[in-house]
Amino acid sequence: MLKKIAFVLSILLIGAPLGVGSAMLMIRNGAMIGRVDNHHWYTSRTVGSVDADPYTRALIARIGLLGLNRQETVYFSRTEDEAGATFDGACTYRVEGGPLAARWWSITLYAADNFLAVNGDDQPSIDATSVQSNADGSWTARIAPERGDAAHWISSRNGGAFNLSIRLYNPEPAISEHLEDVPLPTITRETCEGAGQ
Amino acid sequence: MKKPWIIWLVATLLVAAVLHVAFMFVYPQVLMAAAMNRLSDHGQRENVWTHAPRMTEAARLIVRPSPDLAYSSCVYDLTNGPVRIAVQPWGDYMSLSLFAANTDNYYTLNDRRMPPSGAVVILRKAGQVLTDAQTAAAFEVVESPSTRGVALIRRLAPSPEQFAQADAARGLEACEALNAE
Repeated sequence: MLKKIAFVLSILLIGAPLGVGSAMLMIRNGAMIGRVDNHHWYTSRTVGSVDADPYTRALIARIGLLGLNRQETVYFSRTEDEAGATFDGACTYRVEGGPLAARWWSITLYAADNFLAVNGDDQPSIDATSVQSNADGSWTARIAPERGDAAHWISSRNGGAFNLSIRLYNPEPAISEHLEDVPLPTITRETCEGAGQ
Repeated sequence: MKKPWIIWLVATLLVAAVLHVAFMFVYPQVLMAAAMNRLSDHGQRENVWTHAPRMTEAARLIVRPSPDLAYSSCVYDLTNGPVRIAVQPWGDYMSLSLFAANTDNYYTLNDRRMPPSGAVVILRKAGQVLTDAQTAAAFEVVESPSTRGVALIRRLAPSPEQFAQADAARGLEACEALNAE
């Protein structure tokens, strides 16, 4: 009898943490079925959608609650620069972009806790209404802890290992139907004074 | 019992698989319930719009807020009948979006699709009956997949000046029990 109880108990004691633990690990590490990579940016085809799979839904619940479906808005995120290095709030990055086929767009910096970085700068984003483009539609901006001489600046002060979101509101089909090919801004690290790496 | 370790292994993996799947399904519901609790001031403000202040670094209610949008939210509860939502367009992008208790964005109406005079959206659960007059007065009748959920209005307002304008445009919306006395 005791042997049987131990047998069942051991199944539950090992099976339960294994099941819940693996689920938590997948959510934490951003498991996303239907993930679409676009250079260093990534998104999901089913964000917010009723077609979302349980993994995407769980991840979105953690990092993108109340996000819109991709017919209304396409969201891309990224955590690394062009060289593949994790973003560092102490570094300076050059953002280079072109026209984006959407009614409105923005790029926003979030600290690792998925909230706006606490730095008192009130410069957490740039958007289509604030960025002055060149004649050919190209534009540049800076992500750095200090503004310096940048015309367009996102403050990374106290951002730590920050991440970025680009929002494309009312995207044209060229975007929502070709998520992997949309030309998105590049983000190149320029200097890294005082950084931990 | 022959080869009890095989039975043990299969049973353990089965328990793990069932709990893994169950956790994945429950997790969004739990986070959404917590968000609804925060947005409704612990259930005190349901079926009513709450207009959020400008999203700054102090905003901690919902992850990854956009500092460029003015948000209004209404945690709806269809337990006692359908809910009437009335929205007004304004000078720039705005949308009404509806989210079910499992986080799905099951309905969106933006200013491009909205009549210039605004729109009334009736929200109901399956089986809740409307009068012909109620249906006729609605721009759309939408069936919510869950009894509770969130209605959200976004208005484009990237600067403090634009936020002030968006804020002034708020207040004409309705989110209320349709059959309220």
